[in-house]
Amino acid sequence: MKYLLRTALAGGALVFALALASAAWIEYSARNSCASVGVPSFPAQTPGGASATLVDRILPEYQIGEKHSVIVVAPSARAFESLKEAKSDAQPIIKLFNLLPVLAGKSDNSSPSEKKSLYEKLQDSSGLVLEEPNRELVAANIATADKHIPSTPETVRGFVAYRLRHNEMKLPVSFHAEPVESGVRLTTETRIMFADRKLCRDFAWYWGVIYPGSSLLRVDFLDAVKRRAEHGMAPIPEDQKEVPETATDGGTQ
Amino acid sequence: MNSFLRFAAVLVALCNWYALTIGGSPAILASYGWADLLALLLPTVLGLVAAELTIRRARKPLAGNFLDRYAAMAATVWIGGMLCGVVLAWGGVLHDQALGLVGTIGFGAVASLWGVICGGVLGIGEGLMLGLPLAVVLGWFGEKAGSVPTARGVFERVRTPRDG
Repeated sequence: MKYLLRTALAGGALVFALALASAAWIEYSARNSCASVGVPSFPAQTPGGASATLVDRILPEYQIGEKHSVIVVAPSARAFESLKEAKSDAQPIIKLFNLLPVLAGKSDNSSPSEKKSLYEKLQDSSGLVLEEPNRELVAANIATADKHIPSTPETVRGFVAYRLRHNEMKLPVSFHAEPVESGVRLTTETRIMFADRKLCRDFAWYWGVIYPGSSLLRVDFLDAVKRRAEHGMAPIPEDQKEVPETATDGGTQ
Repeated sequence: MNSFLRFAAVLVALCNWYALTIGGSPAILASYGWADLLALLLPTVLGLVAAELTIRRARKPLAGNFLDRYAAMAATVWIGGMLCGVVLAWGGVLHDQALGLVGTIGFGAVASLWGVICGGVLGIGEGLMLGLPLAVVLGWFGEKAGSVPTARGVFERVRTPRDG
């Protein structure tokens, strides 16, 4: 019995020490990230002068973000096809996150077969959707910390020019496929920009606490896409076998 | 007895790893390459670490009465759960390209905290359940190894001529 009690004590001490270290890090990280709120930004450029990616064009500067990538040994079209079909909770460990709404008393009544893929969910729930077939998808929103729902501009120019008000943030989520020697590097990136330093600090605390789960979710989602592309052999639609040279973002600029 | 403890700890770790990464879709296993299978070394090592900790720190309870053995086995599964939780939680942090070295270490602390809490909760739950059969089997091993129950209920090894 003593050993079990000693384990409990050691576990408690470890949790306490880690909680202190985590709080110190999140505070430091929040201060650091939010120091750039309101500082003028310069658009990201590639050496050739063109904007690097769609997400660089709509939000080159941001305070909080995360970026994960995976090498998929398959053509870009197949990787993107897998991305379109993959559900966000395909991996068993991610299914554990589905318990959170149940524990909070907000159970999701839809059956798993009715659930849409993450790609479809992003397209449905985002105010601005930009897509370069088989290369990049950006789903962007103007989000708020309070109850009012701002309307997200539906053009790139409108989104870039949008002046954030109190409690608002710009939030694009992107998937980008970049050709590499063995296949494609599939990258997912989330960027968040604030105009209000207090909101940034508050959100940075929230983000810092949920970060490990959010990060794990993205890594496992990319892993599911990789497996589907490499082993599930998602069919390549005839019209997507060749990657077009020009962007088809709806001609919104 | 030590070998059984190591075997049990590795088995529990591997079963948990399987449930969390493969779950109800064994088809995923078919898509695993050699590199993915190498990842199975991780829960194996963590299970062994948990077992070694118990072998070194709880030698007496392991040879003790049922309640002592039960508590020691529950603690072993609990420790294994915390270790596996930390390693799983670090998975996402290590893959983030936007974090530098300092960011990885900083968020690593947050990930470790979640890993210890979530892995610990799952571990103690499993430990309290699996501890029962494991303690019983551990008792059989004690008997088969030539131990006899004493008046205090503690198994003690009987010296044989081969022991010198």
